Amino acid sequence: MDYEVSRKVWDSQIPVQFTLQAGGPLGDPLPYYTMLPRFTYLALALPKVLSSFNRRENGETILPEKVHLEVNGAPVKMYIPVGVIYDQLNQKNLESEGILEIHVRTSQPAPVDFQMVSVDSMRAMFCQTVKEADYLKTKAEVTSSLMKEDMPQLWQSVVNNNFDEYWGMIQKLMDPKDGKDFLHVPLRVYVKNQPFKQALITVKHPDGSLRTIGDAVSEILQFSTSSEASTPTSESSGTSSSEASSQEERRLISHGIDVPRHTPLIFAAKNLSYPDNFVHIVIAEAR
Amino acid sequence: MLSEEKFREELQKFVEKMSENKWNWQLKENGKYARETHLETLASGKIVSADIHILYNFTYQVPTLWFNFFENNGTPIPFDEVVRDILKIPESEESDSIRQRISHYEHPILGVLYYNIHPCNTEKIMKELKTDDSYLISWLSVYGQQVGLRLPDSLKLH
Repeated sequence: MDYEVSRKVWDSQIPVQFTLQAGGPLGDPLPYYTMLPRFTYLALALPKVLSSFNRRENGETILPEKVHLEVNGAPVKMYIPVGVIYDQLNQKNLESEGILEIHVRTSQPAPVDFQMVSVDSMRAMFCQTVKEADYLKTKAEVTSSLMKEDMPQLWQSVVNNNFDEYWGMIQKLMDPKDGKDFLHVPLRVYVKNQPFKQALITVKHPDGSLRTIGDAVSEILQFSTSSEASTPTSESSGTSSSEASSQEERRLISHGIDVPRHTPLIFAAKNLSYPDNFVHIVIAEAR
Repeated sequence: MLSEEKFREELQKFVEKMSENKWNWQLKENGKYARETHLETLASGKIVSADIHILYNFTYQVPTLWFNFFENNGTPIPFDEVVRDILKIPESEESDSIRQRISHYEHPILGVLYYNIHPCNTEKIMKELKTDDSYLISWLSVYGQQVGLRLPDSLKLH
């Protein structure tokens, strides 16, 4: 792992505006502005936001169970890193310093496709994701040898935005002592309006050369298209010319930057992963 | 371990076998997963709908049971209520331990949060079962119980 890169990735933040549409005689409170680390989750940010809104005198106390969150009029997933939410929204104009606008709504019932995620639930999801990542990397060798307090410590480093604590833990997960190569690389790919995509991707090609992040993303996207084919037997017949050209134009965004396609996958895994140990890549169309 | 191809084959056989036994499982998304829905009456008298899916997990390379319970207006039922009132997990089990077994995660096809029984032990358990029966029927006889699914008597393992 590269300390400088990891530190930069950890330190990057995004501006977020929360607005509350409460109605009632007091009208809406002023928006709440904050800078959030890219690695954090809305599930973690929400309690602070609500306590700010709840400081109004004579205002009705707003409970987390009673609200739902929207971005651009659509329910937002509280359990994916805010950096990924930001990169998904900002695809069109990445160079402009946009603010992520989150609307906190109190209207009942909440839309059925919104799901509130509590801090407890978020912690459980985070730990499962780290374990899954380790299963991909080492068949869970590292996590099963970790001490009981190690996993909560990794989570606490995220909650408290404590890089030093994180750095101590993440090296155990990313640079295992036995020095073995990762079996597979934990990588999730986000295409607009679809669930994230994931597949078993090895660090190297069968010929021993290093797989690049561009290769890996193309394979994941191709795999998910072929498994959606009308019958399980109809294998996709290779990359058609239109797909090939779209591959060239496709931009791979992570942590707000265009990740060069030739970046070795193993470098991305070790240095560009979020604290959940997955590399999260948002697909954007070429400008 | 089970390859995805084998999983799909097994899933198709499983659904056929289930319908012979008047159990309404259906293949979805061209055989990517199987789905069963039913209504359940809770002790309080409330009626909830259960939605149960069998999906392939590409990381652990085993089948995974995904499920959710809904109010009749379509709202998903919160975790605590699912755990205590529907799955009837005793109060003595702490929620951290429950959350390790039953995780809440994004459904790989629907893209919304569903529960799943975490597949990290499935391979080990299936090795111990060493059954000649269909993989999925043996598997469901273990995992189905946790969401209150009982196999028809005619399919019980011997």
